[in-house]
Amino acid sequence: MGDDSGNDQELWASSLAGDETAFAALFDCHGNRVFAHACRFVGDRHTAEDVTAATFLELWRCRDRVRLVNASVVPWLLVTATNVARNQTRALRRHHRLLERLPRLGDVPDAAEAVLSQSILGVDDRLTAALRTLKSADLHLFCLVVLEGYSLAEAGQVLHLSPSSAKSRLHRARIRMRDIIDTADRPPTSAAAVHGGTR
Amino acid sequence: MTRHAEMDPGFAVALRSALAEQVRDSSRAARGPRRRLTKGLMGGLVIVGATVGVAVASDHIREAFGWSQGREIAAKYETGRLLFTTTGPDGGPMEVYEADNTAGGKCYSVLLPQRPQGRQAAVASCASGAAQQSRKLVKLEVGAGETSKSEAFFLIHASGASYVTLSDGQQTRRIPAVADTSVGWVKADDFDRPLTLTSYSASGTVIDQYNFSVPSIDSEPGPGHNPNGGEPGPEG
Repeated sequence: MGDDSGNDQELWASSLAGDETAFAALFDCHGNRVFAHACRFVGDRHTAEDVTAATFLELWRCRDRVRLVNASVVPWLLVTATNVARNQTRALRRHHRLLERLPRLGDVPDAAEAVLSQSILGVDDRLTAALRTLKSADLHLFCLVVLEGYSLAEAGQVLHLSPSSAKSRLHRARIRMRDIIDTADRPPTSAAAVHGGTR
Repeated sequence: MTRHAEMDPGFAVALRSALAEQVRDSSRAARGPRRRLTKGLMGGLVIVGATVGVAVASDHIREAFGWSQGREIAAKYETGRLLFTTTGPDGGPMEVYEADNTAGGKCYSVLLPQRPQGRQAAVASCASGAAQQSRKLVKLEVGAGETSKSEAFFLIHASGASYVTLSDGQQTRRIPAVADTSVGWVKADDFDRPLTLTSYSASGTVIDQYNFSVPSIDSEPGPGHNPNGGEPGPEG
Protein backbone atom coordinates (compact mmCIF):
# COMPACT_ATOMS: atom_id res chain seq x y z
CA MET A 1 0.00 0.00 0.00
CA GLY A 2 1.09 3.62 -0.26
CA ASP A 3 3.39 4.39 2.64
CA ASP A 4 0.87 6.36 4.66
CA SER A 5 2.34 7.09 8.01
CA GLY A 6 0.08 6.35 10.94
CA ASN A 7 -3.64 6.16 11.14
CA ASP A 8 -5.80 9.09 10.09
CA GLN A 9 -9.00 7.76 11.58
CA GLU A 10 -8.65 9.49 14.91
CA LEU A 11 -7.38 12.78 13.49
CA TRP A 12 -10.15 12.79 10.93
CA ALA A 13 -12.84 12.11 13.52
CA SER A 14 -11.49 14.92 15.69
CA SER A 15 -11.36 17.23 12.70
CA LEU A 16 -14.99 16.52 11.92
CA ALA A 17 -15.81 17.38 15.50
CA GLY A 18 -14.25 20.81 14.94
CA ASP A 19 -10.77 20.19 16.32
CA GLU A 20 -8.59 22.57 14.31
CA THR A 21 -5.34 21.13 15.65
CA ALA A 22 -6.34 17.69 14.38
CA PHE A 23 -6.93 19.05 10.90
CA ALA A 24 -3.62 20.91 11.05
CA ALA A 25 -1.98 17.65 12.09
CA LEU A 26 -3.39 15.94 9.01
CA PHE A 27 -1.81 18.68 6.94
CA ASP A 28 1.50 18.14 8.76
CA CYS A 29 1.34 14.44 7.94
CA HIS A 30 0.35 14.64 4.30
CA GLY A 31 0.96 18.19 3.04
CA ASN A 32 4.31 17.49 1.44
CA ARG A 33 3.08 14.29 -0.13
CA VAL A 34 0.22 16.15 -1.79
CA PHE A 35 2.65 18.87 -2.84
CA ALA A 36 5.01 16.32 -4.40
CA HIS A 37 2.10 14.76 -6.24
CA ALA A 38 0.95 18.17 -7.52
CA CYS A 39 4.46 18.78 -8.87
CA ARG A 40 3.87 15.96 -11.34
CA PHE A 41 1.20 17.98 -13.06
CA VAL A 42 2.22 21.59 -12.74
CA GLY A 43 5.47 23.12 -13.77
CA ASP A 44 6.30 25.43 -10.93
CA ARG A 45 6.46 25.49 -7.18
CA HIS A 46 3.96 28.32 -6.75
CA THR A 47 1.21 26.53 -8.62
CA ALA A 48 1.94 23.26 -6.85
CA GLU A 49 1.62 25.06 -3.53
CA ASP A 50 -1.68 26.56 -4.66
CA VAL A 51 -2.90 23.11 -5.67
CA THR A 52 -1.88 21.74 -2.27
CA ALA A 53 -3.71 24.51 -0.45
CA ALA A 54 -6.83 24.07 -2.58
CA THR A 55 -6.74 20.30 -2.04
CA PHE A 56 -6.76 20.62 1.74
CA LEU A 57 -9.46 23.28 1.58
CA GLU A 58 -11.51 20.89 -0.57
CA LEU A 59 -10.89 18.19 2.03
CA TRP A 60 -12.56 20.39 4.60
CA ARG A 61 -15.27 21.69 2.27
CA CYS A 62 -16.24 18.16 1.17
CA ARG A 63 -15.73 16.60 4.59
CA ASP A 64 -19.15 14.97 4.56
CA ARG A 65 -18.26 13.03 1.44
CA VAL A 66 -14.65 12.09 2.11
CA ARG A 67 -13.95 8.38 2.07
CA LEU A 68 -11.01 6.97 4.02
CA VAL A 69 -9.24 3.95 2.56
CA ASN A 70 -7.71 1.67 5.17
CA ALA A 71 -8.07 4.50 7.67
CA SER A 72 -6.08 6.84 5.43
CA VAL A 73 -7.22 10.09 3.88
CA VAL A 74 -4.27 10.13 1.48
CA PRO A 75 -5.92 8.40 -1.51
CA TRP A 76 -8.75 10.94 -1.41
CA LEU A 77 -6.23 13.77 -1.19
CA LEU A 78 -4.20 12.47 -4.12
CA VAL A 79 -7.22 12.02 -6.37
CA THR A 80 -8.48 15.47 -5.46
CA ALA A 81 -5.05 17.02 -6.02
CA THR A 82 -5.03 15.47 -9.49
CA ASN A 83 -8.43 16.97 -10.20
CA VAL A 84 -7.41 20.36 -8.86
CA ALA A 85 -4.17 20.35 -10.86
CA ARG A 86 -6.04 19.49 -14.04
CA ASN A 87 -8.68 22.10 -13.50
CA GLN A 88 -6.90 24.89 -11.74
CA THR A 89 -9.22 27.63 -12.92
CA ARG A 90 -12.23 26.50 -11.00
CA ALA A 91 -10.60 25.05 -7.94
CA LEU A 92 -8.18 27.90 -7.33
CA ARG A 93 -10.79 30.55 -7.96
CA ARG A 94 -12.99 28.99 -5.33
CA HIS A 95 -10.29 29.47 -2.72
CA HIS A 96 -8.56 32.54 -4.08
CA ARG A 97 -9.21 34.62 -0.99
CA LEU A 98 -7.14 32.32 1.15
CA LEU A 99 -4.51 31.69 -1.51
CA GLU A 100 -3.84 35.38 -1.91
CA ARG A 101 -3.17 35.70 1.80
CA LEU A 102 -0.44 33.08 1.81
CA PRO A 103 3.19 34.24 1.65
CA ARG A 104 5.27 33.76 -1.46
CA LEU A 105 9.00 33.59 -1.87
CA GLY A 106 8.88 35.88 -4.87
CA ASP A 107 7.10 36.60 -8.09
CA VAL A 108 6.48 34.01 -10.78
CA PRO A 109 9.91 32.62 -11.70
CA ASP A 110 11.44 33.34 -15.06
CA ALA A 111 12.23 30.57 -17.55
CA ALA A 112 15.66 29.73 -16.13
CA GLU A 113 14.35 29.57 -12.61
CA ALA A 114 11.48 27.41 -13.79
CA VAL A 115 13.90 24.87 -15.26
CA LEU A 116 15.93 24.89 -12.08
CA SER A 117 12.77 24.58 -10.02
CA GLN A 118 11.62 21.60 -12.07
CA SER A 119 14.96 19.93 -11.51
CA ILE A 120 14.77 20.52 -7.78
CA LEU A 121 11.18 19.33 -7.64
CA GLY A 122 12.06 16.21 -9.56
CA VAL A 123 9.52 16.80 -12.29
CA ASP A 124 9.91 14.49 -15.27
CA ASP A 125 8.59 16.28 -18.34
CA ARG A 126 8.05 13.02 -20.24
CA LEU A 127 6.00 11.58 -17.43
CA THR A 128 4.00 14.78 -17.06
CA ALA A 129 3.26 14.88 -20.78
CA ALA A 130 2.26 11.23 -20.84
CA LEU A 131 0.02 11.59 -17.79
CA ARG A 132 -1.85 14.35 -19.57
CA THR A 133 -2.92 11.92 -22.27
CA LEU A 134 -4.74 9.58 -19.89
CA LYS A 135 -8.46 9.70 -19.30
CA SER A 136 -9.54 10.88 -15.88
CA ALA A 137 -10.24 7.51 -14.26
CA ASP A 138 -7.17 5.89 -15.80
CA LEU A 139 -5.03 8.78 -14.62
CA HIS A 140 -6.24 8.45 -11.02
CA LEU A 141 -5.67 4.71 -11.13
CA PHE A 142 -2.18 5.01 -12.59
CA CYS A 143 -1.17 7.63 -10.02
CA LEU A 144 -2.47 5.67 -7.04
CA VAL A 145 -1.12 2.25 -8.04
CA VAL A 146 2.01 2.89 -10.08
CA LEU A 147 3.26 6.17 -8.68
CA GLU A 148 1.99 5.98 -5.11
CA GLY A 149 2.15 2.25 -4.45
CA TYR A 150 -1.45 1.50 -3.50
CA SER A 151 -2.94 -1.86 -4.28
CA LEU A 152 -5.53 -2.21 -7.02
CA ALA A 153 -8.14 -2.97 -4.38
CA GLU A 154 -7.34 0.20 -2.44
CA ALA A 155 -7.35 2.36 -5.55
CA GLY A 156 -10.57 0.76 -6.71
CA GLN A 157 -12.13 1.52 -3.36
CA VAL A 158 -11.57 5.25 -3.57
CA LEU A 159 -12.38 5.40 -7.29
CA HIS A 160 -15.48 3.21 -7.07
CA LEU A 161 -14.07 0.68 -9.53
CA SER A 162 -14.52 -3.07 -9.42
CA PRO A 163 -11.29 -5.12 -9.22
CA SER A 164 -11.70 -6.37 -12.79
CA SER A 165 -12.42 -2.92 -14.14
CA ALA A 166 -9.47 -1.46 -12.23
CA LYS A 167 -7.19 -4.17 -13.53
CA SER A 168 -8.12 -3.74 -17.17
CA ARG A 169 -7.99 0.05 -16.94
CA LEU A 170 -4.57 -0.05 -15.33
CA HIS A 171 -3.28 -2.46 -17.95
CA ARG A 172 -4.46 -0.14 -20.69
CA ALA A 173 -2.98 2.90 -18.96
CA ARG A 174 0.39 1.18 -18.49
CA ILE A 175 0.57 0.32 -22.18
CA ARG A 176 -0.34 3.83 -23.18
CA MET A 177 2.17 5.40 -20.83
CA ARG A 178 4.92 3.04 -21.96
CA ASP A 179 4.24 3.74 -25.62
CA ILE A 180 4.28 7.48 -25.16
CA ILE A 181 7.42 7.52 -23.04
CA ASP A 182 9.18 5.07 -25.40
CA THR A 183 8.31 7.28 -28.33
CA ALA A 184 9.66 10.33 -26.54
CA ASP A 185 12.90 8.49 -25.67
CA ARG A 186 13.49 7.12 -29.18
CA PRO A 187 16.00 9.11 -31.23
CA PRO A 188 14.72 10.27 -34.62
CA THR A 189 15.49 7.95 -37.50
CA SER A 190 17.96 9.16 -40.05
CA ALA A 191 15.19 9.63 -42.61
CA ALA A 192 13.11 11.55 -40.17
CA ALA A 193 16.10 13.62 -39.19
CA VAL A 194 16.78 14.42 -42.81
CA HIS A 195 13.22 15.57 -43.25
CA GLY A 196 13.35 17.44 -39.99
CA GLY A 197 10.67 15.37 -38.29
CA THR A 198 10.31 12.57 -35.83
CA ARG A 199 8.42 9.39 -36.01
CA MET B 1 10.54 10.85 -8.04
CA THR B 2 8.85 13.80 -6.42
CA ARG B 3 8.66 12.43 -2.91
CA HIS B 4 11.52 14.70 -1.89
CA ALA B 5 9.86 17.88 -3.10
CA GLU B 6 8.70 19.94 -0.18
CA MET B 7 6.73 23.11 0.19
CA ASP B 8 8.46 26.30 1.15
CA PRO B 9 8.49 26.19 4.99
CA GLY B 10 7.04 29.69 5.29
CA PHE B 11 4.20 28.78 2.96
CA ALA B 12 3.55 25.54 4.82
CA VAL B 13 3.34 27.29 8.18
CA ALA B 14 0.96 29.92 6.81
CA LEU B 15 -1.20 27.33 5.09
CA ARG B 16 -1.34 25.22 8.24
CA SER B 17 -2.52 28.23 10.17
CA ALA B 18 -5.08 29.14 7.49
CA LEU B 19 -6.50 25.62 7.44
CA ALA B 20 -6.86 25.61 11.23
CA GLU B 21 -8.60 28.96 10.99
CA GLN B 22 -10.95 27.57 8.35
CA VAL B 23 -11.94 24.70 10.65
CA ARG B 24 -12.36 27.06 13.59
CA ASP B 25 -14.54 29.47 11.62
CA SER B 26 -16.70 26.70 10.20
CA SER B 27 -17.23 25.19 13.62
CA ARG B 28 -18.23 28.55 15.06
CA ALA B 29 -20.62 29.18 12.18
CA ALA B 30 -22.18 25.77 12.68
CA ARG B 31 -22.77 26.48 16.35
CA GLY B 32 -24.03 30.04 15.99
CA PRO B 33 -27.18 31.34 14.33
CA ARG B 34 -27.06 31.63 10.57
CA ARG B 35 -27.69 35.26 9.96
CA ARG B 36 -28.86 34.69 6.38
CA LEU B 37 -31.35 31.99 7.25
CA THR B 38 -34.19 34.44 7.70
CA LYS B 39 -34.19 34.94 3.97
CA GLY B 40 -35.58 31.44 3.70
CA LEU B 41 -38.91 32.90 4.70
CA MET B 42 -39.27 34.09 1.14
CA GLY B 43 -40.33 30.51 0.57
CA GLY B 44 -39.52 30.18 -3.12
CA LEU B 45 -41.69 33.00 -4.38
CA VAL B 46 -40.48 34.57 -7.58
CA ILE B 47 -39.69 38.14 -6.71
CA VAL B 48 -38.22 39.30 -9.96
CA GLY B 49 -37.75 43.03 -10.06
CA ALA B 50 -39.14 43.65 -6.62
CA THR B 51 -35.69 44.11 -5.19
CA VAL B 52 -33.95 45.67 -8.17
CA GLY B 53 -31.08 47.92 -7.25
CA VAL B 54 -31.29 47.50 -3.50
CA ALA B 55 -28.06 48.61 -1.92
CA VAL B 56 -26.73 46.08 0.52
CA ALA B 57 -24.18 46.20 3.28
CA SER B 58 -20.58 46.10 2.15
CA ASP B 59 -19.78 42.92 4.03
CA HIS B 60 -22.61 41.20 2.20
CA ILE B 61 -21.17 42.34 -1.12
CA ARG B 62 -17.77 41.08 -0.13
CA GLU B 63 -19.34 37.75 0.67
CA ALA B 64 -21.04 37.72 -2.72
CA PHE B 65 -17.98 38.59 -4.76
CA GLY B 66 -15.08 37.62 -2.59
CA TRP B 67 -15.11 33.93 -3.41
CA SER B 68 -15.16 34.44 -7.12
CA GLN B 69 -13.16 37.54 -7.81
CA GLY B 70 -10.60 37.01 -10.53
CA ARG B 71 -7.03 38.07 -10.07
CA GLU B 72 -7.06 40.26 -13.15
CA ILE B 73 -10.46 41.92 -12.81
CA ALA B 74 -11.56 43.08 -9.39
CA ALA B 75 -15.07 43.98 -8.28
CA LYS B 76 -15.53 47.45 -6.85
CA TYR B 77 -17.32 46.48 -3.70
CA GLU B 78 -18.73 49.94 -3.05
CA THR B 79 -20.79 49.70 -6.26
CA GLY B 80 -22.26 46.32 -5.39
CA ARG B 81 -26.01 45.84 -5.21
CA LEU B 82 -28.63 43.15 -5.20
CA LEU B 83 -29.87 43.17 -8.78
CA PHE B 84 -32.82 40.83 -8.48
CA THR B 85 -34.09 37.67 -6.85
CA THR B 86 -35.55 34.74 -8.72
CA THR B 87 -36.29 31.10 -8.04
CA GLY B 88 -33.50 28.52 -7.73
CA PRO B 89 -33.53 24.85 -8.73
CA ASP B 90 -34.90 23.71 -5.37
CA GLY B 91 -37.66 26.31 -5.33
CA GLY B 92 -35.81 28.59 -2.95
CA PRO B 93 -34.66 32.12 -3.70
CA MET B 94 -31.68 32.77 -5.93
CA GLU B 95 -30.04 36.18 -5.59
CA VAL B 96 -28.17 37.93 -8.39
CA TYR B 97 -25.64 40.58 -7.37
CA GLU B 98 -23.91 43.10 -9.59
CA ALA B 99 -20.89 45.34 -9.12
CA ASP B 100 -18.73 47.48 -11.40
CA ASN B 101 -15.26 46.16 -11.99
CA THR B 102 -11.83 47.56 -12.69
CA ALA B 103 -11.98 46.64 -16.40
CA GLY B 104 -14.95 48.82 -17.25
CA GLY B 105 -17.43 45.98 -17.08
CA LYS B 106 -19.52 44.25 -14.46
CA CYS B 107 -19.05 41.46 -11.99
CA TYR B 108 -22.00 39.22 -11.24
CA SER B 109 -22.48 36.71 -8.48
CA VAL B 110 -25.33 34.34 -7.75
CA LEU B 111 -26.09 33.15 -4.23
CA LEU B 112 -28.55 30.59 -2.93
CA PRO B 113 -29.23 32.01 0.54
CA GLN B 114 -31.26 29.06 1.78
CA ARG B 115 -28.39 26.64 1.43
CA PRO B 116 -25.88 26.01 4.21
CA GLN B 117 -23.12 28.51 4.66
CA GLY B 118 -20.15 27.70 2.50
CA ARG B 119 -22.40 26.22 -0.17
CA GLN B 120 -24.38 29.27 -1.15
CA ALA B 121 -22.30 30.63 -4.02
CA ALA B 122 -23.54 29.20 -7.31
CA VAL B 123 -21.72 30.98 -10.12
CA ALA B 124 -19.95 34.27 -10.69
CA SER B 125 -18.35 36.17 -13.51
CA CYS B 126 -16.30 39.29 -14.00
CA ALA B 127 -16.28 40.44 -17.61
CA SER B 128 -14.64 43.48 -19.14
CA GLY B 129 -16.83 46.08 -20.81
CA ALA B 130 -15.55 45.03 -24.22
CA ALA B 131 -16.40 41.39 -23.60
CA GLN B 132 -19.95 42.24 -22.60
CA GLN B 133 -20.51 44.31 -25.72
CA SER B 134 -19.26 41.63 -28.09
CA ARG B 135 -22.78 40.20 -28.49
CA LYS B 136 -26.30 41.09 -27.49
CA LEU B 137 -26.70 37.70 -25.90
CA VAL B 138 -23.78 35.82 -24.46
CA LYS B 139 -23.21 33.22 -21.79
CA LEU B 140 -20.81 34.80 -19.33
CA GLU B 141 -20.07 31.80 -17.18
CA VAL B 142 -21.22 28.33 -16.22
CA GLY B 143 -20.35 26.96 -12.83
CA ALA B 144 -21.38 24.77 -9.99
CA GLY B 145 -19.84 27.10 -7.45
CA GLU B 146 -20.11 25.77 -3.97
CA THR B 147 -23.16 23.65 -4.65
CA SER B 148 -23.10 20.16 -6.10
CA LYS B 149 -22.12 18.38 -9.27
CA SER B 150 -25.72 17.45 -10.06
CA GLU B 151 -26.63 20.95 -11.09
CA ALA B 152 -25.00 23.88 -12.83
CA PHE B 153 -25.77 27.55 -13.05
CA PHE B 154 -25.10 30.01 -15.83
CA LEU B 155 -24.94 33.75 -16.00
CA ILE B 156 -26.10 35.48 -19.17
CA HIS B 157 -25.53 38.92 -20.57
CA ALA B 158 -28.78 39.69 -22.43
CA SER B 159 -28.63 43.21 -23.79
CA GLY B 160 -32.06 44.87 -23.94
CA ALA B 161 -33.89 41.67 -23.06
CA SER B 162 -37.04 41.50 -21.01
CA TYR B 163 -36.74 37.77 -20.66
CA VAL B 164 -34.78 34.81 -22.00
CA THR B 165 -35.87 31.31 -22.89
CA LEU B 166 -33.79 28.18 -22.43
CA SER B 167 -34.60 25.30 -24.77
CA ASP B 168 -33.18 21.80 -25.05
CA GLY B 169 -35.03 21.14 -28.29
CA GLN B 170 -37.96 19.52 -26.52
CA GLN B 171 -38.81 21.77 -23.63
CA THR B 172 -38.54 25.51 -23.26
CA ARG B 173 -38.22 27.34 -19.96
CA ARG B 174 -38.67 31.06 -19.54
CA ILE B 175 -36.22 32.84 -17.25
CA PRO B 176 -36.18 36.50 -16.24
CA ALA B 177 -33.74 39.16 -17.36
CA VAL B 178 -33.13 42.30 -15.35
CA ALA B 179 -30.75 45.12 -16.28
CA ASP B 180 -29.32 43.16 -19.22
CA THR B 181 -28.59 40.21 -16.97
CA SER B 182 -30.13 36.80 -16.49
CA VAL B 183 -29.29 33.65 -14.66
CA GLY B 184 -30.42 30.08 -15.13
CA TRP B 185 -29.69 26.56 -14.02
CA VAL B 186 -29.80 23.05 -15.39
CA LYS B 187 -29.84 19.64 -13.75
CA ALA B 188 -27.49 16.80 -14.60
CA ASP B 189 -29.90 15.40 -17.21
CA ASP B 190 -29.16 18.43 -19.36
CA PHE B 191 -25.38 18.26 -19.10
CA ASP B 192 -23.54 17.72 -22.39
CA ARG B 193 -26.69 18.44 -24.41
CA PRO B 194 -27.10 21.30 -26.87
CA LEU B 195 -29.05 24.14 -25.26
CA THR B 196 -30.36 27.28 -26.88
CA LEU B 197 -30.84 30.64 -25.24
CA THR B 198 -33.10 33.17 -26.94
CA SER B 199 -33.51 36.73 -25.70
CA TYR B 200 -36.78 38.62 -26.18
CA SER B 201 -37.80 42.24 -25.90
CA ALA B 202 -40.79 43.29 -23.78
CA SER B 203 -42.97 43.07 -26.89
CA GLY B 204 -41.89 39.48 -27.53
CA THR B 205 -39.55 40.17 -30.44
CA VAL B 206 -36.51 37.93 -30.66
CA ILE B 207 -33.34 39.92 -30.01
CA ASP B 208 -30.64 37.27 -30.25
CA GLN B 209 -29.93 33.57 -29.92
CA TYR B 210 -27.00 31.68 -28.40
CA ASN B 211 -26.17 27.96 -28.37
CA PHE B 212 -24.08 26.24 -25.72
CA SER B 213 -23.82 23.15 -23.59
CA VAL B 214 -22.95 22.54 -19.97
CA PRO B 215 -20.10 20.06 -19.56
CA SER B 216 -20.42 17.30 -16.98
CA ILE B 217 -18.99 18.09 -13.61
CA ASP B 218 -16.68 15.66 -11.91
CA SER B 219 -14.91 17.73 -9.35
CA GLU B 220 -14.02 15.46 -6.52
CA PRO B 221 -13.88 11.83 -5.54
CA GLY B 222 -15.86 10.29 -2.75
CA PRO B 223 -19.33 8.77 -2.64
CA GLY B 224 -21.13 9.45 -5.86
CA HIS B 225 -17.94 10.11 -7.79
CA ASN B 226 -18.21 8.77 -11.30
CA PRO B 227 -14.76 7.72 -12.44
CA ASN B 228 -16.08 7.03 -15.89
CA GLY B 229 -17.40 10.54 -16.20
CA GLY B 230 -16.01 13.75 -17.57
CA GLU B 231 -13.25 16.06 -16.51
CA PRO B 232 -13.24 17.81 -13.15
CA GLY B 233 -15.00 21.11 -12.87
CA PRO B 234 -17.42 22.94 -15.11
CA GLU B 235 -14.67 24.31 -17.31
CA GLY B 236 -13.30 20.84 -17.94
